Amino acid sequence: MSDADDVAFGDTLLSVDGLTKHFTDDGGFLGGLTIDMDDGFSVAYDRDSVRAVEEVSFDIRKGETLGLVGESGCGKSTLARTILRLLEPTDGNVYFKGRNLAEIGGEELRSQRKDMQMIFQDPQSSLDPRMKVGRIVEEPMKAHGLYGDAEGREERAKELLEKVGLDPQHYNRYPHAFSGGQRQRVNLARALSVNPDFIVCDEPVSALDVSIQAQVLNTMNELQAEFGLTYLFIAHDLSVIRHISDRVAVMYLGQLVELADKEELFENPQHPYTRALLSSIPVPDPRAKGTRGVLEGDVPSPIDPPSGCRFRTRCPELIAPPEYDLTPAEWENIRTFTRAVDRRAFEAASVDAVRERFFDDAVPYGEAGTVVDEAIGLVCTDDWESAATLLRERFAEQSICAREEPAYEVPTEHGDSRHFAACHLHKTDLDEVH
Amino acid sequence: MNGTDPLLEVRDLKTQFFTAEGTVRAVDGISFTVEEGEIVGIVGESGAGKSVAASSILRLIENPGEIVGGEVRYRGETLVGFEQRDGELRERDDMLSNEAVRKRIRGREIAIIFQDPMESLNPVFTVGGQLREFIEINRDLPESEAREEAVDMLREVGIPEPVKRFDDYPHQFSGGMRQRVLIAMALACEPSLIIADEPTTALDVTVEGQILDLVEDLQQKYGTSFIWVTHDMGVVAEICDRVNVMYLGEIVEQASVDDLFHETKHPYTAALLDSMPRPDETVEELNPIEGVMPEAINPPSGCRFHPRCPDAREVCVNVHPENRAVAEGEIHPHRAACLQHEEVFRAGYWGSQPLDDAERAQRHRELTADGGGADE
Repeated sequence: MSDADDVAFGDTLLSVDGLTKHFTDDGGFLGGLTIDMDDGFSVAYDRDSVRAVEEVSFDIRKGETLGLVGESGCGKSTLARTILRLLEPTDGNVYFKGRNLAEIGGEELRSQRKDMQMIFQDPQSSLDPRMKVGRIVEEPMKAHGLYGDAEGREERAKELLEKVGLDPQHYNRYPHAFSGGQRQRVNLARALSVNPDFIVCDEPVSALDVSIQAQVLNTMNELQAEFGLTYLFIAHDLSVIRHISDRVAVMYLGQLVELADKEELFENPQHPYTRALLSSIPVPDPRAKGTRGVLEGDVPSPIDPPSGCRFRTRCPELIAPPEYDLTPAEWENIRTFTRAVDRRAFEAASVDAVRERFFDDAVPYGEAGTVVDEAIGLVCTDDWESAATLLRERFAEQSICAREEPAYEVPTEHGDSRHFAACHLHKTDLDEVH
Repeated sequence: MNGTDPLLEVRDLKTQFFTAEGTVRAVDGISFTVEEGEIVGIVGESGAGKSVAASSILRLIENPGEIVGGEVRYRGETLVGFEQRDGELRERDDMLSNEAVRKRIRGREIAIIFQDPMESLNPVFTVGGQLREFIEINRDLPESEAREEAVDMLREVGIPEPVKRFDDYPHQFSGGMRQRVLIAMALACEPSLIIADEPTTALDVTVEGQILDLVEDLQQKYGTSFIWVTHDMGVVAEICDRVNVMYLGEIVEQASVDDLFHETKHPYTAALLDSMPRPDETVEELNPIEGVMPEAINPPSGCRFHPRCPDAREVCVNVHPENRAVAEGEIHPHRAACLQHEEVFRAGYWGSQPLDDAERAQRHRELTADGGGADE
């Protein structure tokens, strides 16, 4: 490990710059073909792409653990696989020790891979059931021609098994003879066998019981200290992320929404999505007063994500369009009403009933009032589609959140790392609006 | 039935699985009650027997499993009842027939929600159709009324555009939406008790939050009781009124939720709480429980937790503690199965020799020998 390109602790080991990954529907030759019967017989050919990861940039420093958190389907695993070039990036660059991984290929990429390893969520399916654990651990050494002969590799494998907390005597056992936690340890030993600098851990403890989870997390911490490892740790469980990470990145619908030091992110979250995520975790203390279920609805489709800030369709703090001069209470009513119409979450009995339900405490006047009245009228004549479109076009899409992509740096309160939050609430000249 | 009777009473329930390797004592003599309008938790790690306990209440155990003893009473009716007769364990005469359980109890009186909604919904029928049929059969409503009721239920549990989504198939719903459909289905017959078996485990936190909110709202509105099976102490703290902690087929601690977290009486519960990373504070070092839970085929002697217990002493190897009342509770006493509570168990715990680490590790290795040795 005395390469010329060695990186000092605390310096950037991996740099991700504008990384983008789109998937196209590879449904074969006729996959993208649609025939519109209503419109005579027009044939259209287009392929929707799933915009799984979009314009993601961040750095990982040597020796740190960067936690990557987000809900299922937000693109965490795709991002990790694209960083390792297990998937071809659609756009953007990944620099590992200063070398652009997106540009190299073939043998060069293969040999580079020994510095970057990955651990997967399911310890069962990531181990070959017909191979003894000794061979499983030796396999990567063999592939990269490390540790000389078979004897050298066996010695190294036994040493590694001991390091990850297994009995080296179990060298000749098959994976099925191990418990889930132990299998994940075998995975760790395999990843370590080629002396990597960087390990991507994709939900490594999610499949384990809490008591076993703690054992594995502690072992991972010890190994990091001993071998000077750098982790990109992906998880959906914020408690685990809080325990293991140095810095945390929060992902929503293919994009990073916030990135900060662990303490800073958990104690001073600046993005409404992060705040919603943090407040929805059940706290293991019945005396803790929690608010939960603060987010409505589902994550929108990544095929056609919302413009501007992707979180705006569910954001509880969507910014009011400036031209209407609304009070906060009026705007909140409009926002609630717009989303309820979108989801058809109520029965529209009469104009008065709808008005009472949504605009009891604050009725918007002027132009905004006219639009709301028109929408209520449409809903009551059962034309939900037009009402939804009207409200969306006149209110939600006039907001800055729909028109510009947010990217701000905010002041840090805990620690000294920089704090990024992709939310227009941090636009400084916006104070009087909100 | 008088006012003091619990809604559901489980006494000494035993369920075993007869496998080629031996008899698995999945549920080994558990007792608990559920009062009207209460949410009772069953918490434990995988393999503790939580789900088998939940399914046993509705007699949903299939071969090679069998309920082999104990009693389950619901509003004066006997769902499960065994007695010793001629030296043999037999079903009592007052135990309901399979048909009666199927027709009168399941769905109408006690509903169950499983972890994986895709397994509970038929993929080849529309979501609305399944819900409508369920209401039609169980509530004897004509088709059109049942349909209206089904749409109302879907709206009630927060399905967007319920009229339009009525004709969608299960795969067109997200995981959270499918779980809402199952809740709608469980609520459709206005049962008095809903058994929820890890219903939010497969869901994201924000969706889990939505579901927990929904359950709390519906519980207040309809006064339904719940048995909530989970491995997540966070969920327990959020919604349960009382909790049963299970370990290897037994209930080791039983208390109100506040007492369980703040007046913990069993070392297993304490160790479980101590091993969890927390969302609300940074924990530098986790204290994991040593080893893994042994198989229920051949459980450890004495206290089943003793090979992993930091407080184990000689006496724990030989004496099996019952789940006894060890402290006062709000309504029900706080129960724990641990010999440390000398004033209740009188087994001479404090005079007994503490098991040292080497000894405990050795015992543990023997127990889990075929599983590849201890984890630490």
